[in-house]
Amino acid sequence: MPISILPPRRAHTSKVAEFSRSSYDDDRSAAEEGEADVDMEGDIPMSGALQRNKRGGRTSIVTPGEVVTDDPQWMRGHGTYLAVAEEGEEVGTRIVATVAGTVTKVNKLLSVKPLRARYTPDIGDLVVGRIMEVQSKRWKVDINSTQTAHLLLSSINLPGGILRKRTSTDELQIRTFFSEGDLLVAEVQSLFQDGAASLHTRSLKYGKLRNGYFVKVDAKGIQRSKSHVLTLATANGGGEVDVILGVNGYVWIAKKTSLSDGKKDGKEVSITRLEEEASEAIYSSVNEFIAPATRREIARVGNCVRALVRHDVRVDEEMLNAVYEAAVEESMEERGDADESLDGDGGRRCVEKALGLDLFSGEFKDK
Amino acid sequence: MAPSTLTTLISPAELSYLRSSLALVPPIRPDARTPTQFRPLVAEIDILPSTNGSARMVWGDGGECVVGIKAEVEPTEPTSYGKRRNWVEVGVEVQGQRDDDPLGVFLGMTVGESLLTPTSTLTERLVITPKFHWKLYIDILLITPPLSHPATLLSLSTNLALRSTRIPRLISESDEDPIFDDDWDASIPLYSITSQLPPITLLVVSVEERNIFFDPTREELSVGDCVLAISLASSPAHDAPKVIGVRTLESGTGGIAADAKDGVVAASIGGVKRRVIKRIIKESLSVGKEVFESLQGVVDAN
Amino acid sequence: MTDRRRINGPSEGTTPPVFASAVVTKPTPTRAPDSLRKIFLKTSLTPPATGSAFLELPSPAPYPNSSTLKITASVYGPRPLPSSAAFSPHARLTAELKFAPFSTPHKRRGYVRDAVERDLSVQLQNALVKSIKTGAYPKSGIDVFITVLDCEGGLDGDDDEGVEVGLMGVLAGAITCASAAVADAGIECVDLVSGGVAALVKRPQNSDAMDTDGMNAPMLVLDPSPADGYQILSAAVVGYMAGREEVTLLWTKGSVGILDGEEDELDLLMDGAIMTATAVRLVLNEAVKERMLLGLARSKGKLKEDGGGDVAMSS
Repeated sequence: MPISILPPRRAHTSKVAEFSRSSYDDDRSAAEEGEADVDMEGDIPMSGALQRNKRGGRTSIVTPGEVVTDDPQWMRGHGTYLAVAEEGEEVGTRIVATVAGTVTKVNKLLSVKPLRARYTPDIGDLVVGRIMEVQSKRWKVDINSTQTAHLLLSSINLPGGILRKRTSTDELQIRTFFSEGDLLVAEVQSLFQDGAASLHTRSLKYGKLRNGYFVKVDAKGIQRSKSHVLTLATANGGGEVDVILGVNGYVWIAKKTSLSDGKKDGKEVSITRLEEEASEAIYSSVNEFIAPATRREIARVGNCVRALVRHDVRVDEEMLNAVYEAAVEESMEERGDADESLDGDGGRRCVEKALGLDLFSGEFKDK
Repeated sequence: MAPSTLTTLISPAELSYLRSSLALVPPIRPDARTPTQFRPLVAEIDILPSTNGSARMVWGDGGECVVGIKAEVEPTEPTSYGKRRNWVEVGVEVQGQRDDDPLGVFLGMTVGESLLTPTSTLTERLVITPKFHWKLYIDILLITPPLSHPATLLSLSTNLALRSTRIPRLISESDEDPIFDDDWDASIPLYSITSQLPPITLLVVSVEERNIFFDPTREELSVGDCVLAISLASSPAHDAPKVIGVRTLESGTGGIAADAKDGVVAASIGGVKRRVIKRIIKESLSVGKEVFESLQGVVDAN
Repeated sequence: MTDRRRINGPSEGTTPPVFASAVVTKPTPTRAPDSLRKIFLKTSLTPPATGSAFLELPSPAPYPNSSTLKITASVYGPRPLPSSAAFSPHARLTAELKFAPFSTPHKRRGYVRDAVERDLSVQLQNALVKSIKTGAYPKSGIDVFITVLDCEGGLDGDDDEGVEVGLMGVLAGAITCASAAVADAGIECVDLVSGGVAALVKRPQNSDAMDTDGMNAPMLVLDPSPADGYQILSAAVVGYMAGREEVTLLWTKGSVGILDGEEDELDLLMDGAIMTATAVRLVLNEAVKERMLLGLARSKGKLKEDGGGDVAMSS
């Protein structure tokens, strides 16, 4: 049946949020493995085995206006403010939350991380962005954040390494690099005063994106981690597929090419030779030939990423590989109602298989 | 969430990849659906107690649409200027857009047009007495417009809402002013089992000669050669639905140069051969039949 | 307070007299079902515009002063987009169709744009944009303005059961007229789009020929006019590029099914409309060439007077 109309899912009755639940671990802390914390939209309490909280103790959920602590030893971080001093106090020590989220404590820093929020750029983040506007010496890039980021002409690799007078570029020439609508992968170099990010692509592994497919997911599904450029070895003769997970929720899935490695002849390119090694090809919009088998696998990987985020599982290399394998197995089984798009039940099954547990009840399944 | 202009930007490399994927035989859609597969939908009817009929539908990409139908008694104008066409008024509101936005206008007209074809008996059922008739107000609210074109979502929601519409039962004589039964349980459904069902509109995209896709995403719409909105009506007596209207929609405005430069795929220029259109319409008949069956399932379940 | 200085008209305004129509029955069609009306099409009539055209279709009814279809088209462009507009690598085509307030016979239309005009404008744009090489004109805009001076017989079908074919006729005429204007403006196109309408009507009772299909089978009529007096079951308008044999616009109304036999009613309608559009295309070509030839002949004549130049043209 090509069309399936389902009745709406019952809204879960929410139990009072005193249940502690594991938060998304902040990857800035050391020795972090990609553990999936499953958080359903309902408030179903999870079995104790899932509550892996390394730092011990319970983390709680706070709402705006709630006092988190009044212990003076804590420094306040994002998502909080210092309450005004009351009578009898010299200086206010009460830390009050400004967003609804989980309390995270890193050393002496106390911050409240909202459950869902727009991506806020941080220096060093790898992001995928789309050019929105072309101005005389820079581009404005959409990175799914509160503000558009800027990409200065001086922050990109100019092909051929010719020393150019950057002051006298006219509109047409600047569009030969990036034009409106182009997708690129870049790193956040710095932040402006108002919080807008400034990007740079000064490495061969950054730059214009081609040979693939763009997926947009919720930014909370992609956490900062060591590596954001994954390579999957795909089944069914698809070859190798690169997955670029932008921290801002933009994901690029493409066929692996020699250029995307950032290496030339298998060796890293040193920064002094960057301008000479970068050629015209890095700004070309022409795709290579991509075999149908690879396209199919690219579509499958895209569906896996979407399915993971839909079921509130963080996307990282281990999980993605596991869900992908589950998806390949599902399609091999040749069920009558094969749903390759993983939108409905099919996606849930794959995610469950990968996690090894039942998403609704939170119990482990026998593998 | 108003549709933002950001969603209309797409890079030449992406378009080229999409187009070449969709032009393959067999085609590969970016989300691996089959060409006739729809994204999962959620639907419910009879949700607004103050209306004569209502429905709500949530589309695969999050678009949500609520339709409410109210009926009011109106005196029938004796002259020929009182066209029966005016007995049904369709209003479409897309949150975040102006009232006279072309999209809203187009959608309203498509829905209105398809309801008032010569063969639909709807206006006859709206007659109360020779002097009075029901005026049907169909108000469509697109709460979150879907990222793709909302025509199908609207028409399916309207179809469900119409099928859940009930009209109060008349208890007065035909030459008096109309008086109705207060008991809502005695009300008559507007669409009975034997009457022709309200129509639906399907969006179809074609790429190259042979590939035809249903429920297209926004990107698929922008690389297609031809985008048609096909309105279908079905009646329980017939097997296959009938085509009651075809409209051409904008396509291929992906923002890339019309000339092929450096291998970047050219924007579609030129039209489509007539045999492609004929093939599209034939395919939509069979898909339309399944859609009607599926909708029937929703109505039966309630 | 009455104004005694002037002789005023009645304060409420007057309505024009409405004469009781002597003809009670609907007019019977006098044309053959597949005959097309003669089109009058002329270009370059509006000097300020880059390109312009005027189209007129006679009404089939033999009454004097019967309304005809009159459409003018003006094309401006390609002209630069305002600097505030976003960069666009191809020309931006906008089409606007307006009915003059006096164009409908019964009721005066206001100046306010309503849904019908908006809808027709969008359809016209869809029909034209596929034929113009917009990629050759980056950062520019092409504006097409269509004014309907007279739409024969009104837009709403008199008969509630009939499909409003007047509107489709207007669209078909507008497409043809706009194409002529675009060609007159010298804008690069891959082909010219012409508009054609066809309808399936109820076979009239007094038809001479008893067809083998039986009396109930609908009849195909090309280039129908609201004044013809048919009872229209379904109709289609196409925008057709006859050179490339491609359809850029298809708009149908009315229920179509499968006729007895293998013929699909929709196929019949579409083929009929395409046939009409192909015939219209010949007129379109002639009209576009006419102005060129006139200009050529004049310059040729002028050159001869001046003692000849080095322009050698074949007649």
